[in-house]
Amino acid sequence: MRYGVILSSSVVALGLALLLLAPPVGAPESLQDVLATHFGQPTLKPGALMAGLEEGNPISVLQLGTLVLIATPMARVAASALLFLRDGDLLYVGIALLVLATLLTAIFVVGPIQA
Amino acid sequence: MTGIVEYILLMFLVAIVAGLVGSMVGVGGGILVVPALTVGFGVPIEYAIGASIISTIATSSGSASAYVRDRITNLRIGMFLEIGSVLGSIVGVIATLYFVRGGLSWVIFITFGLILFFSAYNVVQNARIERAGESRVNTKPNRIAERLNLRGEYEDRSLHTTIEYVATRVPTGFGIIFFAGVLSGLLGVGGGSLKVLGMDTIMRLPFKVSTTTSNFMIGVTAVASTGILYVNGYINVLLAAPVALGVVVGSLAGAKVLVRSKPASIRVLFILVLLAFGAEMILRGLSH
Repeated sequence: MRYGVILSSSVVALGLALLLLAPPVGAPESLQDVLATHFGQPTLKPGALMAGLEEGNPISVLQLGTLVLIATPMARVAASALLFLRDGDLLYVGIALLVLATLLTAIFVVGPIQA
Repeated sequence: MTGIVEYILLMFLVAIVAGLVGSMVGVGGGILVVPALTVGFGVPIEYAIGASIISTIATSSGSASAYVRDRITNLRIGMFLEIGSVLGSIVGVIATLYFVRGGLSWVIFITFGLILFFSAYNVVQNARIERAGESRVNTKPNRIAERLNLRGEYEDRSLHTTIEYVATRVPTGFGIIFFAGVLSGLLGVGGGSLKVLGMDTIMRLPFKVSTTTSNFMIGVTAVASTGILYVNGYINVLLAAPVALGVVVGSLAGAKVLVRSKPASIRVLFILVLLAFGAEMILRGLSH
């Protein structure tokens, strides 16, 4: 779990460093502009993210860091499920998987419905 | 290009302070992030919530691991309650999206202000609970706890004893945890105070088990609302990234600085800050 945070923090730090050193063309000047133009709007299509990373786009790096961070607790739940499996505690394997399924449903079903 | 550099550093700094103060008092720094961003910098509340909930994942993940290793965190109780917490979070974030899109953000402001007042009250309460000791821990078995194995034991290093416990009043506790999840989804906070209340006061688990298990749960709960906000475009990484990093740095620094007990002066300061922000948030809401 800690490694997840360390990993995502490193990625985020890298992204911020890139941003400060080489701001992308057309970057907004103020906080209000950032929010108004949705600069940094997550591009969820893997293709766009990969392309951005290859360019060294700092925003894409930041998005990657954010995604890693979000994935960390889910990995935590999955790891707990494995722990319960090792204990032979099938009830809690089920409960852990239920939690995981609920999270995935939230992100991939509820989220898009709300959009 | 200096504009973007300036404000990223500024957000980073603000977040460090929030994380620092929060960790020194034992409340997540997250509760100060949304007020600071909205009241201090005019950030629309939906983006502030997005940044705050991301920072909540970061701080929760970082601190939870140690206690799970120490076997103080009760993984089973945490995972079971997590069902309610995550469901609550989904409800909460859907409500926030509804309010924001319906021009009803002021409802969120007022709710946040009230929660800030409640948190101030909690800072006082936690001090009392810590001093009261573990005499109220429940050890009598009950059917739900038996069925779901909602019990355990841990070694209290300072008391040099093994403390056994059985969760009681589980349905009520589950309800409180669900509500804590709703607050987390709605406001972008961790909801730890309420979770600890549910586990410690309602289900009568040992205080240390409650706090560590709550910490474990918060990050997982936050993923639900974060994911939904993300998909709907309310996570602005330029804002969320420096804030998350700052809160983590601030929390780590706060934990290092304050190894022993928390001095009363910091608590008083924190309470005043909470009350001030709370009043400001409510005023904003009322004057919409």
